[in-house]
Amino acid sequence: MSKSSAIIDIQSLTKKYKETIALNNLNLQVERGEIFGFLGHNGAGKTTTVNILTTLLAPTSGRAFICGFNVEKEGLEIRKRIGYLPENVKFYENLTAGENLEFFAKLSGIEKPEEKIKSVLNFLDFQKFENKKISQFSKGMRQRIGIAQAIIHDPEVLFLDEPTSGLDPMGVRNLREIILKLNKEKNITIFMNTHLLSEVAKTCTTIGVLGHGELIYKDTLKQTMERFKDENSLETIYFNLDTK
Amino acid sequence: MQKIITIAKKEATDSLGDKLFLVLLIFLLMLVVISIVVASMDFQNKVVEYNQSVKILESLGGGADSIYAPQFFPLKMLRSVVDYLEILGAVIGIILGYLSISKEKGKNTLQLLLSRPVKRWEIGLGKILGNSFVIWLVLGIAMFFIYGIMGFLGGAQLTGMEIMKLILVFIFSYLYIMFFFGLTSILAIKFKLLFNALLISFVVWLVIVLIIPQIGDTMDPDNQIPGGFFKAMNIAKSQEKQIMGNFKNYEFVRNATEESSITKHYERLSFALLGVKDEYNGKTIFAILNDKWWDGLWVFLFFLAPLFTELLIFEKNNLLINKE
Repeated sequence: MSKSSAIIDIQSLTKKYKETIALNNLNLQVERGEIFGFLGHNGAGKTTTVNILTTLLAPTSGRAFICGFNVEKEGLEIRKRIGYLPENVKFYENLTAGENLEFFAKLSGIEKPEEKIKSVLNFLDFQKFENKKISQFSKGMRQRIGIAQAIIHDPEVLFLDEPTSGLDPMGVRNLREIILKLNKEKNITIFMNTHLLSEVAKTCTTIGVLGHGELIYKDTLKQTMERFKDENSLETIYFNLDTK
Repeated sequence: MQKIITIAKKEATDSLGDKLFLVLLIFLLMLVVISIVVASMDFQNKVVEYNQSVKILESLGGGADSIYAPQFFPLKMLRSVVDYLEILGAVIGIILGYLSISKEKGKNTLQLLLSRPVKRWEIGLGKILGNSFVIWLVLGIAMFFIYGIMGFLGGAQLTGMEIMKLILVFIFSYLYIMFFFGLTSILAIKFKLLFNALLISFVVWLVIVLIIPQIGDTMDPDNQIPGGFFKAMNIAKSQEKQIMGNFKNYEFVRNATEESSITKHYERLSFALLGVKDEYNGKTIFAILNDKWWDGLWVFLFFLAPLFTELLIFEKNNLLINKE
C-alpha cells in the first residue's frame, strides 16, 4: 500500500523497450477528484504511462500505486477501481451497444447488468442507441459507448487516452461535458492523455507535461495561468515548456 | 467462473459468425460426405467383383472357396475423413486461433479486456473454451453426417464398439485441431504484424501436416510399392525385421522425422482405431490403445504445450505489442 494520500502515486517509474527509454524516473502524484491533463509530444511516454497504470504493461523499475494498490503486485484490485478508454477503440461491431456493455459489465463482476446499463446510458443521454449495432455508430457515438463501458462498474479513477482524437468540434464539446459531469456528479478522478490544449484549458484542474519520458512540469491549471501570465495562451506555455 | 463463461460464449458466437470459418466448415463437411460416398462405392465395386468372380468360378464347375469375400469394416471407410481432418481441420484450427487474437488486437479491444478485473489466464482460458466448443460443434456435425450417411443411407449400422472407436478418433481430432489453434494464437499475440503470424502458422502447417509425413513415407522402404514392398516380395515379418535391422540408423532418422509431427501421431492412432491397417480390425479399444499409447501421449502433449504457453503469455503483463 502507498503511504501517499494521492489516488495516483508514481514513484521513480522507468520503462525501457530494449534500447529505448520510454519513461525515465517519472515521479507524479494525482489527488482524488482532480481532472489531470497529461500533455506531451508524440512518443513522450504518455500512453506507456497509462498502460503501466492500467496494469497492461509492467515497468522496468520504480513503483506506481492506484488507490493505494501496487500496479505490479495488486493488478486485480486496481482493475476493480479503474476505468479505461484507450485511443481508437472500435468495440465489437457485430454486437449492439447494449450487448457490448453487457459483456464488459459481466467481466467487471456485475451479475445483473441490465439495470446498470440503463442507468449508465441514461447518465450519458444515450438510451435510445442501446439496441443499435456499433458498426452503425459515428466516432463520437463510439466514444460515448467507450465512456459507458469504462464507468459501468463505478470506478474511482478513469483513464482516457487521447479521447478527443478524431472527433468533430461538436463531439469534442459533448465529450468535455461528459468528463466534467463524471467528475462533478460521480466524483471520478480523471487522468487524460491529450494533445488538445484548448480542451485542457476548459476541462482539467491540473496539468503535467511529459518530455522524452520525464515530467518537465506539473501544477494546477490556475497556478499555471498565473505563473505564466505574460503568455497569452496555454499553447504558448506548453511549447515553451516542451522545448526546454 | 462466470467471467470465463462470458468470454467463452462471446468467443464462440464470434467464431460461428465468421464467414471464413463457415466456408471452411461447409467445405470440410462436403469432403466428409464425398469421402464416405466414394469409399462405399469402392466397397460396392469390390462386392460386385467378388460376386462376378464367384459366378465365373461356379460356371467353370469350381467352388468359391479359393477367393475371399470382401470383409466389410465400416470404420475403414473413414480413412479419407481423417486425411481431410489432418489438412482442413488444422486450417480451421489456424483460422480460429488467428481470429481469436487478431480481432481483439485490430479493434484495440484487447486493452479493454485486459483492463477489466479479470485474471489474465481467465481471458486466455475463456478463449480456449469458446473455441473448443466451436471445434466440438464442427466435429459433432461431421460425426452426425458420418453416422447419418453410413447408417441411414448406407444401411451400415455401427456396433457399440465401433461408435466408441469413432468417438475416440474425434477426441484425438479435437486435440489435434486445438494444437494448431494454440500455436496460431501464440504467434498472433507475439507478432506485431498479424499477417506474419498467419504466414508463419501456415508454414508450420505445411511442414507438420504435409512435408514431414511425406518425408517419412518416402523414406519408408515398405512404401516403395503400392500394397507394401515386403508383402509384394513375399517376405515374412520375421525376415522383414531381420532386413530392417541392417538399416538401424536410417530407420532412426526416418522415425525421428515422423515423431516430430503431431499429424503423424494423430494419423497412426486414428488409422489404428478405424482399422485402416487390417491388423487392427476386430481388436478392442484397450488393445489398440495399448499398442498406440505412445502416439496418444504425443498428441496429448502437442495439444497441451501451446495452450499452456498461451495461458502463460496471457498471465504475463507485457502482452501489448503496440507500444508508444
